[in-house]
Amino acid sequence: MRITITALLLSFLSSGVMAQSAKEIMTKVDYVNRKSYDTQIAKIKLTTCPYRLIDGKQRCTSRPRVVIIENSKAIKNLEDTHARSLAVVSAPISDKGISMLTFEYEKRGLENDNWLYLTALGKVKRVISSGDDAGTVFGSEFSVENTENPEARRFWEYDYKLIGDEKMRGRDTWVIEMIPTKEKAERTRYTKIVAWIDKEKYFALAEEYYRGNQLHKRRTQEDIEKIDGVWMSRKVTMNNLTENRVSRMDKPFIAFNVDIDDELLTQRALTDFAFRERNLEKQRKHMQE
Amino acid sequence: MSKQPNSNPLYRRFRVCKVAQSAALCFSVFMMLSAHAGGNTQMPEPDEQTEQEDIFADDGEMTFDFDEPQAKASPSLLGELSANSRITLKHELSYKTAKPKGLVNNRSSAQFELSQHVFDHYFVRIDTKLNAYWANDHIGQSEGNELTFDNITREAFVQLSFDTIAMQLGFQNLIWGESDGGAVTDVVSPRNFREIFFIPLEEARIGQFMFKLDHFSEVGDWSLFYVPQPKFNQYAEFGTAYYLPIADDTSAIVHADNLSGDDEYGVRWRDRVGRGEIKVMAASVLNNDKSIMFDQQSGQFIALKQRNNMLGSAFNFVYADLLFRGEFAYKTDLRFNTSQMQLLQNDVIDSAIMVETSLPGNDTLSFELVNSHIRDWSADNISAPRNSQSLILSWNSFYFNDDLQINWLSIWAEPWASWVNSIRSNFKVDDHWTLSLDLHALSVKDNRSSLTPYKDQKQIAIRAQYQF
Repeated sequence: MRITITALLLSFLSSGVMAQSAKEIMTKVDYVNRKSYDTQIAKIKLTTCPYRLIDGKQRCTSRPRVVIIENSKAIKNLEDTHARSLAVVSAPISDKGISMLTFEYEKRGLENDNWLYLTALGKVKRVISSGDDAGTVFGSEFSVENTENPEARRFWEYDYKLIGDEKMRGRDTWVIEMIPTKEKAERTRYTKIVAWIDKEKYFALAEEYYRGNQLHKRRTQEDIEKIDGVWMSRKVTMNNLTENRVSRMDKPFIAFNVDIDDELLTQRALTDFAFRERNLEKQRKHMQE
Repeated sequence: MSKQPNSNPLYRRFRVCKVAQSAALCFSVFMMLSAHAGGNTQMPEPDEQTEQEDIFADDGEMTFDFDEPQAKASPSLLGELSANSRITLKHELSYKTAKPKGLVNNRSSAQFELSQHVFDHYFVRIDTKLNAYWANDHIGQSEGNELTFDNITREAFVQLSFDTIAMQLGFQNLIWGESDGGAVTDVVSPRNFREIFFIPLEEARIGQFMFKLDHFSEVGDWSLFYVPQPKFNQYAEFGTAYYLPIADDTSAIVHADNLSGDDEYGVRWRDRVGRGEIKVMAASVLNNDKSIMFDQQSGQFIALKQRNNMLGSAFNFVYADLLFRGEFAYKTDLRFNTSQMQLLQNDVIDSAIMVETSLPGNDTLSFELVNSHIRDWSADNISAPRNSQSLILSWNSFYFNDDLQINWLSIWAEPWASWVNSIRSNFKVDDHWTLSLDLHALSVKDNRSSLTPYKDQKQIAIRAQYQF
């Protein structure tokens, strides 16, 4: 099945260098971002600090804050869900042991379902989720707002315009402008996104987020590697140019398309710790450094 | 439910709000952020970067002065235990701002937690805390020592998991239900009321020795528990700030061994239904509060264990941007006091409904209504009115990239009206240090309220916490 999909995808992408509309390009970007793997396991490190210019270089002005999460995600239709994932926090120490189960839905208008297990509380708690509005992810410059996130962004919530071609880090890119639709504009503080799309890989090498006419944040995606047949960026940086704060997301360990027990992506994993750890141990053996 | 006002704030302690709300949003996005696959196309490796053409050269030159914490893991057993443990050191001061004013708490604590996966199918969890009360702390004063110690072990259990079964044996908590404000189906684990509602979350529950078995099946998850010797709610001890004597002429209560069987047992079933969940519970438990009556023959107060049966159900579901939660329980044979300190026996119907919504940022706002109805209530009952209600409002707000979190909690109870208001704030100084400031104020409108003895408890508390 995967071979067939890959062949179709190759065929699909091979026409990419031909003249395409912005919407056609972004359709492929959306496809590549969200459907190029069945499962993903990763250790993710999120580092954040305020910065300023010192000796001509931008340096953190205080000790960076670090969040580390182990994440297991399956993109397949289990019952009514589009994707399910389990995340377990190992740092900072104050949040260590917290785990979270998330169900994502393909259907328009449905937000994620989330269940949280807190060691301090000792029970599973259903929590409300919101895909919009600008809350911060663990105090970082990565935002809950899905406008800033190519993985979470919903294709139909933007109008697209091809505004040019540029080279970025030696790569040929299309420059695409994304304007929130009227409906989306009511739920986001951003007025415009500009994305630099790699012409071969069909994903953004960088994005800029505007509030009014003011550039507010810049996202860059670097250290691109092919892991288990899937191209991915090991280093994503979000630079808040308004507040001079920066966050970097590193993925020191990651693997794609490995077997994830369906049961691991249920509430059992939140309370059956031995079961969860046993399965995570198995998964860690697949992770590439 | 008669003690419900005391329990109301405990669930909404600082970490709960902080983590339960913000992390929920954080996680969902984090997992999506984490992917960033470019697709399994036959793509060339990226060319060498060309600095002149790199329009984001400034980001490329970003220098992080990372002094990153290293994982504590090492190949040794000790190293692994260290990596899977957490130690929390804390000091707390609290001051009563209403007359008589004065310092209430001056205490330090060290909490040790271990979560260790062993031998593939086993998991060990330990959560124990040593408190040290200084001489001017109200507990230290009651003991008359320079320093008074006590130890609270909330959890110490072994879990075995195989196939579709998980078993846990040891000291643990079992917290049922959806309500944040009322003990509707949450009838198993006893609570710690030694500090009324000023208790920290990690001390709010009393661990008891228990066997728990979970079966995860296609037709829902089943959970059974058995407690051979249940513990009871703890209240303020003689000489401490919140101690309440039963009567002026006695502080002695005889604890009667009035039941032939002390054990507790029950079962819970839960399953997903669409985007909701439903749970059904049944249990035979000893009430976490003993019934106290006056024995006219002996002239003594006697504390009696009381067995209750509980049948309950809970649900949650999401509609648009709203999370609805609720629960319902029918409880048999609860005891209440008459003015002569004799006992009445009634069945009780408890229920709670809650709605929660997210606000811009990671903020959340929730409303909860809790009701307790005593069936066949009579005017002789001085413990509780026929119907009692609580309205609980909670608002969590975040500032400075979530470093500062403020939780406002307000509980209105009637018909014996009282109003509890709390503002709790936490500021994360860094990944190890957290500072907290809490403000609490009570207002009692009806002297029959169980909070009447505490109506002058207006407090301000500060805490410093270091974790490693």
